[in-house]
Amino acid sequence: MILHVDMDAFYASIEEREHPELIGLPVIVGGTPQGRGVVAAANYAARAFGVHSAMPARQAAKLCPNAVFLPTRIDYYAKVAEQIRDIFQAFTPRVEPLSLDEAFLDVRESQKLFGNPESIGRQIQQTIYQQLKLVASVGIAPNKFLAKIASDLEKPAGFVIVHENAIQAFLDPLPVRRLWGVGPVTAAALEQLGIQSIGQVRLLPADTLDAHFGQHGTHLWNLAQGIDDRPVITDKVARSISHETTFPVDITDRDVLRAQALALTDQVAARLRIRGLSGKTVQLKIRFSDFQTITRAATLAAPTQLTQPLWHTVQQLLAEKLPRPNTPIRLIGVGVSSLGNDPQYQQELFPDETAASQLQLEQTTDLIRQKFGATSLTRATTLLRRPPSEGDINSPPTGA
Amino acid sequence: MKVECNREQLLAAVQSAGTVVPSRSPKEILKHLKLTVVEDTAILMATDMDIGIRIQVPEIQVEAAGSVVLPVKEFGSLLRESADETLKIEVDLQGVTVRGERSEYKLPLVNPEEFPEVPTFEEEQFHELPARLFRELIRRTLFATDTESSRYALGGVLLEFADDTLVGVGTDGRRLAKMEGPAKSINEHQPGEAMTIVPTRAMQLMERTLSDGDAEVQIAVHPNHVLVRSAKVIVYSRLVEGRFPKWREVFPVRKEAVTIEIAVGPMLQSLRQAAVVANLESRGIDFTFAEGGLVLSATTAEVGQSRVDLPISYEGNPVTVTLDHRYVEEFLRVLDVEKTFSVEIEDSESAALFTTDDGYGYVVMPLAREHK
Repeated sequence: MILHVDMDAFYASIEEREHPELIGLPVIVGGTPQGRGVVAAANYAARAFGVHSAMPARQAAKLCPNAVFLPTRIDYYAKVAEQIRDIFQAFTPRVEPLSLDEAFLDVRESQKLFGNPESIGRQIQQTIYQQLKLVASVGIAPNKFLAKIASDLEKPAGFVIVHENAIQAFLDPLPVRRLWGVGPVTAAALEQLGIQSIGQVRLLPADTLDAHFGQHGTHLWNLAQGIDDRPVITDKVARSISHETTFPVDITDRDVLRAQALALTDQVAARLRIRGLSGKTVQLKIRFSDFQTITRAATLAAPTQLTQPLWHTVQQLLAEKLPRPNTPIRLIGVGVSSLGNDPQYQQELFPDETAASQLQLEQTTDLIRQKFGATSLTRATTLLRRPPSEGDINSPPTGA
Repeated sequence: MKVECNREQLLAAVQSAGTVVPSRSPKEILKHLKLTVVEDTAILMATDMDIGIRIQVPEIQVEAAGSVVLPVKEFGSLLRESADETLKIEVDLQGVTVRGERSEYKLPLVNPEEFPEVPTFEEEQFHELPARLFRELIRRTLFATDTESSRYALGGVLLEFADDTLVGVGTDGRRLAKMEGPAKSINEHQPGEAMTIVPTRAMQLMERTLSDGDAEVQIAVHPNHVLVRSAKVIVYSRLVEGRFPKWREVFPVRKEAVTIEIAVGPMLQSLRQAAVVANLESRGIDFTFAEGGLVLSATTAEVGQSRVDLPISYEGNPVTVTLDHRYVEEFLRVLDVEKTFSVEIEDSESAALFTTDDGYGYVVMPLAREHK
């Protein structure tokens, strides 16, 4: 069995833990009450007002005027994530982190030591709470896809087990949106076919979806059968570390895209630092609204685990290697590969003044963005573009 | 113009001059060489406007003086493919004719006046130094330069002149090579405030065109260009604009550091043995000095480990420094394998200093295990 452990409102919960006076209040991490930037995380009190991550801070401030806005402290969250990782490692070495706040655990070989999967799940949930005062939701299922749905179903502090013989009963009634890779656009397209539940997808002939969505359709159909044979891949054997985000609504504004890319780069770099890895190849993945998926890669002069040089390359890829400049984008991913431990870092004889000032500039930019939001400081050319407005997020999905 | 040349002598000159000719240029004329014969002296010229060369061609019989412009590609091939000992070159209003014993070539006529001026050496003030020393200076500094860098000043060798010395410095920002030796200032030649940074390509050309027979070279520095004269060759080069880093500030001057003398040959052998497991991702070799000797070791994930002992006399606290093996190897390669050099190491964080007793110093920054 596979466990999916997902921290509940991770960033916001850490901030609540650090600032007990905030408990009970709506807390938003990322962005400013003046409406700058994008929400990185919101606690459940804030979510009750309809605030969610990736929402423009301006909109969040409107929905929840009393919210407490805190700056994102990614390095600190990464440290906490490392503590959580240590707890996972105590139960199994087979841990595949998806991001700072969620991971898959393959516990099949740990059962003689720690009991059945349910018992291991409980122990992990309790240990995290006892040691870190943080709440996790746990999903347990025969594969990754089902485990991930299960952990999300009863958040917060959820604990859901899907047994082998109950897969169909578990999946069938769920809305298609639960399928991995189905966002509002695909959901709307499926609805036009009269399909709302996963059960309906399961009963479709396999080639119907293929005709509509290509390879992606086959993938969805397999998931609807509860089929997902991807193994849990640990960072230790990982050839690459990557993060990706599917947008709630397709994005055309490159400014917003850049902000998202920066957040992803930050997370990937934090993962590298946690594992003591350095990467040399930077990969950017983009899926357009019509599901065309492209990847673009660049190789750095030297392996790194720092955000700055990675971000520099991601920006270059975004700026130079992205075709179809006006096509809406539904997914963006940032990855780093050519990983190695124990980076040997060549020291310089002279301070490289241009690089040093560039670093300083980027760091200052990062600081400003961190404090005032991801779009608070942009290049002059981006001002020519329409700034992201609430309409971008709120408007109903168009097209199918 | 009408001359008869020794083919091999001319070919050698054409090949040297040809390295200056740009392979791509909007100016068609630059893909040519100019041969000028005055009295019984023949000079072959080439330029890409940044670097220019004048080479004296020996063993030439002059029937009529004059100038001719020749396409480097075709004329070079002609000289290579020909088996004749001598070739006759004749220019008339119809074109250029090159004649061998049983072969004849016609090349189009290009007006020699169109060929850009290649500066000659008519200096009163210059520095003079042994050609052998200048050649050594180039060989020992050139490899450390970085022509790929966005810091253009690193794409050249810095020349610093004093009344009786010349210092050459090349660096890529990670290691630095410095060579100095005696050089006489003639008629109070002293370059101004501007730095004399000679492009790597020009230095390479100078090194290549100096021959062992040359006794002296003369170097005259102007604000924007430099002229170097040896017995047969004059090289002109524009200087690299930009500020060379303040190299003296990073060149270690230590009173306390331990100095160890090592033979070049055995060191090179040991280094290459230890570097067997190094690769592009992992270039570091640990140099551990301890009582009983020097241990070179390397570990590369998924490749393996190496350990090579080199017995040397060392008395002091054990110290390890990790250096890019290529940097050390490049240094050893410009030395005579029979000679010795000295290593000076303070700790694993500070630069390692390699020196010889003939004015050569080489500084290498170590590899750090982790980012700061």
